[in-house]
Amino acid sequence: MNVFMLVSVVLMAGLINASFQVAPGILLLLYHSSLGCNITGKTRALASSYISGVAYMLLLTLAAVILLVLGANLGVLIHSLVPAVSVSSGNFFVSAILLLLTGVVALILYYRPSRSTELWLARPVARFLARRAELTNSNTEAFSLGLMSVVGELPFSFALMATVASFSATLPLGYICLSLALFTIASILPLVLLRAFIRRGKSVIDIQRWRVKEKTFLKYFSGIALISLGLFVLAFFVLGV
Amino acid sequence: MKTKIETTFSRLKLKDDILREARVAKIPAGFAEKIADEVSRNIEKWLDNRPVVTKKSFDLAVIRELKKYHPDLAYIFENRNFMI
Repeated sequence: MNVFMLVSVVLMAGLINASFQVAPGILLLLYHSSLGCNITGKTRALASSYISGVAYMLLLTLAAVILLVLGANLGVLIHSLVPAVSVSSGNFFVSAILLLLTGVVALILYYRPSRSTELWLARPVARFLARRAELTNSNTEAFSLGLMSVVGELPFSFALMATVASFSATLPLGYICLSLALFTIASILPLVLLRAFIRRGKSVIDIQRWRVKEKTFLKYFSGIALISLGLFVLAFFVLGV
Repeated sequence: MKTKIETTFSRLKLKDDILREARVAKIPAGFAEKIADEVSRNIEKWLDNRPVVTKKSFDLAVIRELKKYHPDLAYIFENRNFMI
């Protein structure tokens, strides 16, 4: 595998992760509650702390998944279960299956059937995150809210992290660091853009309206991109087409 | 089973709530104050012959009133609990 392939897959995974709506939704809620009772400067600081929390947790979680893939000898187990899969492509096989399953789930279940942008999150989790966003008043709280939002999104982002880990685990340490950085930067891109848009005068209402208008597109983008990436990994790294 | 939570209407609380949302919607303070006054007065009138109302019908009445003055403000009231 060459660097171009690694960078493409990691960027693709990062952009799919960026299309998930938990982290941007919570950032918007944070803006909503903070702009109502704080001065703009404080709101900006809270948003920056939140984005740092998301980036830090993404970095940590991806590093943990890479370590898990490096440590677990999945190839032997998968080869014993499915003899058609070689020992060396066991990790890719697991990643591809996870991507395909997550893609189908994203297409069917990602948004609740309502006019707004309510997500698949369990009601108590959504209520907890919304309440935390409302009560967040210090940078530390905003940072930990960022950490929690990544945990809340893990059921969908895990497949992407497992794929990035499978690709990185076959390469030297330098490339692992490169994938960690690229995945994190691509994933936090919508948060940084959202912050920039609000700073340049867009209101929370404009952004929420845009989210509602484009929610079907975002759902199909995530689902189809997950399935495509899964098929790509299956075809080129498991079946060796 | 859902627990019933009963609260008494407070015009001041509703006014504060509208003013807070108006700051989010970047509505000028004077105009926001006027909207909050009008809406809270109309809601109080609406509640006069309704001793008990559900939270949902109360919210709908507030949204209906807000739409008359500022659709963006009504929109944020309608969607604030459904962002995630």
